[in-house]
Amino acid sequence: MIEIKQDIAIHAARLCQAIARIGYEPQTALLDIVDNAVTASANDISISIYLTPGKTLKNRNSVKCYQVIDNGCGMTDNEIVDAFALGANGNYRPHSLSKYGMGLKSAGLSLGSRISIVSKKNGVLSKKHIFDIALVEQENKFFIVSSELTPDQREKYVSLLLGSSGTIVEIDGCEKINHQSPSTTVRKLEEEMGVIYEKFLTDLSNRVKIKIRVCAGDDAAFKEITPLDILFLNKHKVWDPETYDFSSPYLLLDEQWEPDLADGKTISPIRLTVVAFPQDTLAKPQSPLAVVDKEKVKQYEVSRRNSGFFIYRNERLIRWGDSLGILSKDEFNIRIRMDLSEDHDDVLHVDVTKQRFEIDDELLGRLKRILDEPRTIAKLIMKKCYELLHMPSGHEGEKFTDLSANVAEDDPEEMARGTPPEEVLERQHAQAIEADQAKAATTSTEDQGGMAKLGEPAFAKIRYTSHVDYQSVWTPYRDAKEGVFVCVNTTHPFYIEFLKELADNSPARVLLETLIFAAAVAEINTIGNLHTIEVETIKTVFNRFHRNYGTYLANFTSENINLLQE
Amino acid sequence: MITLAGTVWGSPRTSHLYAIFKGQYVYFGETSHVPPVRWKSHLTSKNDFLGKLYEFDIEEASSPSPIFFIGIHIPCADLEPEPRQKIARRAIEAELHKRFELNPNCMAPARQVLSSAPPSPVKHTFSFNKKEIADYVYKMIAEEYQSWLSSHAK
Repeated sequence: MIEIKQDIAIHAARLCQAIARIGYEPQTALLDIVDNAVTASANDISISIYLTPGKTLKNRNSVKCYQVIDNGCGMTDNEIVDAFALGANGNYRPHSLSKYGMGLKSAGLSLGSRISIVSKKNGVLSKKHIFDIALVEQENKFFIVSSELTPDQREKYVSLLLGSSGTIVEIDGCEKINHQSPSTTVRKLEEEMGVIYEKFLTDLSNRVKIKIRVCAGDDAAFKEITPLDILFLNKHKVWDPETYDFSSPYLLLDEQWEPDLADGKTISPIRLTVVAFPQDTLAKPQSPLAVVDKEKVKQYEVSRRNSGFFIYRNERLIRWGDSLGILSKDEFNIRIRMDLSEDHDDVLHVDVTKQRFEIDDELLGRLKRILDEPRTIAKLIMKKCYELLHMPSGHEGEKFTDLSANVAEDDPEEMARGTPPEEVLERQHAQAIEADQAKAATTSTEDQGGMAKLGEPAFAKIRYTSHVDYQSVWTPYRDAKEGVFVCVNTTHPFYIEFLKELADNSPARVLLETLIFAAAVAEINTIGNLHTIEVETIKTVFNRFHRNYGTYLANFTSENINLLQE
Repeated sequence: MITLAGTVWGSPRTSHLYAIFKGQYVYFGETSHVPPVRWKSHLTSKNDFLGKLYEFDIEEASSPSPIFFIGIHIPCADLEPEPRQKIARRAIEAELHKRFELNPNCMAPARQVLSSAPPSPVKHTFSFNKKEIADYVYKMIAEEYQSWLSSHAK
């Protein structure tokens, strides 16, 4: 069999059109050109957007020219010609922001029809090199036009490239491309570049400065981009359910994920960092937080847009707030940072624009399971914030005390009888002594030692305290004057997991307190009044009862953790 | 040839974590007793290890390849008040499942976990650091399993 090789034609014009439509928005195209500058070791990058005369930021297709100037290593004429080649030579440094060597062409052609480059390397200024899609279409051939600088051009470019090296990329012919109004482009760049390049903007060993301006026929001043860590890691606290402060970001996960690829293959670890924030409503005027805490919450800008996965590739953000199909739209107080490198490009199918990638179902499943706990905590934080905003009293048991004020605690077996027997009176006396000790341990110093006065809190019938036998959910007492009160164990899992999560004056909480209190009344009355049975025998029975009761509720709790979050 | 098929020891009614391996599959669990008390149901009940394996991969479940059991005593859970001991074990068990998802490679050839991770009791604090304990337990399990694999391969 004879095989012959046949060259395939390249339709330059059509290919250019395809490259121009890879899928950039104007701001992402400009960012790709900024990436090239960073890759070239620039630490001063300026973006200028020149508007067409008579047009404003609010008009569509109103950009005359985009210009990106950097002070990177620069290029010689030959290197510029290479830079225009379709597909780079692939010799990128490790952790480079570049990938396929298509960024300049694809990003540039998505912005306009003509890309011009002038560069300076080691003090030597290059020619001006222009890639013009109109000329390519005319001749159906890939080529650039390189020309010596005119005196005016030389003067202009020398003034723009003050250092010994640097590059100017200019894109015009923008009116031929249908674009959103540049106000959207500028707003997104200003809002997002500080996050996207945060690492580069704060790197002490080589701090990069990025500036942007819009010129409407003037030489407008530049605005410098300030860095922003979207996870606020320098302000985070470590999660402790007992000390949540409603104003700090909480670090919920900081791990290296080593995905298993099967067949014994491995890739370098992916760092996963998860932080949860308080609800943005806590920054509002009606929030009970102090002013300084409201300001803290406000700066996080917690919102649906600013939630989800923030995916970094070689320290540069490539995806902002993606749900990855894992997070629901209600989970807007959680931010998850994934740190990828070029090692992960193939596994995660990072595309040419470096904006999109895909995780296969198996890896996605693993990721979802890793994030179970942080997501649960983030939801708990949302719930706590909601309750803080809606919880009117903050005093557990107060509502029940109020509702039970006129409810009798009589033993139905004793109601028809006269004076209780001596044994009963002795038992009640003993209960009163026990009650005094419990009262002393559970009454605040403000309440102790005084007669009840107008405006002072009523005698608390339900007291939440850790001064309860750890195996019991509650312990009843009888005060000589005020009658039954019950101490609910705040260290029991049932309280921690369920009771505490119910708003203190909610019907659900009050009804549960009622059930507990009713059982407490029953126990106190039985111990006190059932004089025909030895008191120690009755106490033994109730001790056994409480042990079973507490154990069952502890087991129920452990089997139904997070029930209230469902 | 007569060979040792494993030894088990432990104090009754104390907290343990355990792992069961067969082929590509692993199962993590916790118990308030010495693990063999729990392992019996894993080999007989359709809701536990072997039952789940039959549903997932009948070929592996029916194959004569050995099953590897390992139990780890975790005294830190026993030091919690009794009503909190189960929650304490569950907290570490949840972390153990997370360890596996983060780094399954050290448990190779096991790649698939059959047990369901319990929900993490995020509202509860313990006298120990559950992440540190889980890290330590995970490494112990991985080392023992790999060591057994190497000696078994011979």
